[in-house]
Amino acid sequence: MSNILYGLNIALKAMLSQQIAIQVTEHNVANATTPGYRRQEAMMSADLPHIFPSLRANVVPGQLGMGVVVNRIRQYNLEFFDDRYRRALSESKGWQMQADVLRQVEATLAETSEDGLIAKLDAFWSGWQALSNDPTNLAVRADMLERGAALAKAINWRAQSLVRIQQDQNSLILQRVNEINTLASKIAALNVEIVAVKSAGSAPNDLMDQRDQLITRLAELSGATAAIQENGEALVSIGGHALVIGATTFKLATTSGNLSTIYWEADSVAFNPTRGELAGLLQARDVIIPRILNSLDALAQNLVSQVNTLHASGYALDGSTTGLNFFDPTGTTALSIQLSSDVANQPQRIAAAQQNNAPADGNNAVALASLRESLVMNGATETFNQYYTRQITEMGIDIQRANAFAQDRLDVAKSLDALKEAVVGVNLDEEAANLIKYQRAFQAATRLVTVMDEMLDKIINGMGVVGR
Amino acid sequence: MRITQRMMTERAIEYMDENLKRLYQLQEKVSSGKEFLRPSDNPSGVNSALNLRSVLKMNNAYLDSAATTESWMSATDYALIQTTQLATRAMNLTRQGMSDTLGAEQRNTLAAELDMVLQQVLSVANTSHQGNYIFGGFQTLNPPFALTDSNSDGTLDTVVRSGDSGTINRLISPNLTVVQNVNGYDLFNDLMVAIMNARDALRNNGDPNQMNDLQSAIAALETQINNANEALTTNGARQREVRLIKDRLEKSQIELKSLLSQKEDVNMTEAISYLQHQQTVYQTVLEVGKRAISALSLFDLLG
Repeated sequence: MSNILYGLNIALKAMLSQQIAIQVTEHNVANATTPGYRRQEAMMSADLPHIFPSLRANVVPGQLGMGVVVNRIRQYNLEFFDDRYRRALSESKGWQMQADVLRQVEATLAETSEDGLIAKLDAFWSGWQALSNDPTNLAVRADMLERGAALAKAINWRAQSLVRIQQDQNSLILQRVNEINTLASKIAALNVEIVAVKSAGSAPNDLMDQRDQLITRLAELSGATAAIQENGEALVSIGGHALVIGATTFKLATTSGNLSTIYWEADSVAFNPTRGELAGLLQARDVIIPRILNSLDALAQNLVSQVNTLHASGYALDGSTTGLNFFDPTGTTALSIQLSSDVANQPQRIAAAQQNNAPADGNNAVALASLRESLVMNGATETFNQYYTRQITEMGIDIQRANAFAQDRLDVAKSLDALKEAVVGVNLDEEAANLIKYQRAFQAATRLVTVMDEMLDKIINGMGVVGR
Repeated sequence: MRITQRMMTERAIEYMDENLKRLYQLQEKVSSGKEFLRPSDNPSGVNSALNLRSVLKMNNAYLDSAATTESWMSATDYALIQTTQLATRAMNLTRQGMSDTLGAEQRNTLAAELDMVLQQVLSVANTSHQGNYIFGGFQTLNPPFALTDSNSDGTLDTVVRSGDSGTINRLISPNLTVVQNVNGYDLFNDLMVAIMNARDALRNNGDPNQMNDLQSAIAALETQINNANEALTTNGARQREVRLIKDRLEKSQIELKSLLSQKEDVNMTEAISYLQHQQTVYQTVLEVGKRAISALSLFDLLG
């Protein structure tokens, strides 16, 4: 038998359900621009029907619909996209970081300007050439010393700047390690909450959005990957080593010093990310900058030995002093190359002559100027200029490649993000249409209550009053 | 595909960024006039530009060397021409002295004239070019020749040499050196000795060997004229070589400059038309972006 009060109940349930749906729509609209937000939807279904017996069939004669109910708040998701998106993003970030650091190096070396090291090298060789033209001229000699000192200083300054950039990268690395540890703690805390909400039977949609955002940032930093367990826990790992398991975090630690290394605190295993900002920073700090520093060192070392060997075999202007060094023989690195005290501030002691007691002999200066053409670098296959020009070209290619890869991977990440956004993003027109839908449904439900009310009014106040 | 407002906005911003970046790059090109400003802009282009610029600078240094060498050689040339003239004059004077018709007094006058020629030869031997004595070998700081009166009889009779026969080399092209100086160590010594001998023979009136002495003095002078001429020819040949190399260096300098300009200078017409095109594109992107961002949503239309 139908009960008239059921109708009132159905209207009430409809009103409440549409209200919930409207609230979810509001939530979507409110979060339309929230990063990492995935749209939600109130999942409605018909409530369990009421079974009532009939005259002819006493078991299940028919089912009477009992209105609507909101089962759950569904979240749109594309979990498998997240992994690919994060992977592309972390690779892009790694290359981007590398390109950023290299651009600093490029600006420091300033090779395309007149202040470049090649220009200084050229001035150095031309200086010897000019000295050979007029070896008795003290002004030319003083100019030669100045050119030597300028070359040494240019090498020093570049090495110092590179070391400084290297140390800057170190502080960036430490900062990012801290960020990873903080993120790990936050994810562990969210894991606990999410498991608790899930076990209570609810969907912790917004908490999951938050956690996904944190995992994405972790991927950007270090190429971390996450696996979501059945119970809702996220298992986060970097390069195969666990970072977060449930409520437990495994933190990273760093050694002190200017070039600190990163290791897992728990088991002291070295931390070597292959993707993400940290990978880019480590590559720049430990591979690329040292490579350029080494090339400057090789340049300095060969300059000192080659120039000194020739210079020591020549004679100073007095015609008898020989065995003098042009560069300080103890300063054989890019940081320490400098004029030797044999000649500093004593231009008359530059050994331009090959023969003793021959002031006009410029043959040693000619020999030194000819060093420019000597194949002394890179296993006697390149001149000084060629060697350094190659370093600059290689650096340029490195930057181009890093930029191209960064852009490439970013494009992949962006198109994956767009595909994901197409599913999980909030479309305001859709929400507006839904809002109207739910609003009208709510209005209809309220009208039902009025109908019920009128029916009850008839029953209560209008029935059985015949002849009253 | 489902499109959301966030996608529209983000894409619009992305396109604006991208086009602004392109505009910036073109603007950088046009205002700097260079195809590339950083090695990463064009690694291989920068490589060749750096090489070309190095070669240009070194060429300049070689040109400087060639120019100073050339002027030194011109000074040498002038000095040697004077030398042959003076030596010829000395020989003529000596020849005159051989005439039987001359008396002692006239021979003495000729001897006095030879003394003057001797002084002139000394001054030529001590020619200085920009502070360097060009016939001093490696010893260019002090006059390489002096005449002294060793027995204090009032005539200069000894040549004192303080120079040497050093050969000054100049690098005027990669791995190409030329000899810049002429060795005057023996030439001027022998010439001055020959002149002194002729002078002394002229003064030795009454000596039965006078004619023989004069004869051998003339022979000695002739040898020195030949030597001076030979030095002149050698110097001239070297001068031509230096001039040729200088010409070649100047030509290659021009070629290198145009090559460098081809490599790194922007084709302005092209760059400016790209820039204008890009400006139009950017304006269009802005216009489209404006519409995408402020597009009406259904909310605006619902009362």
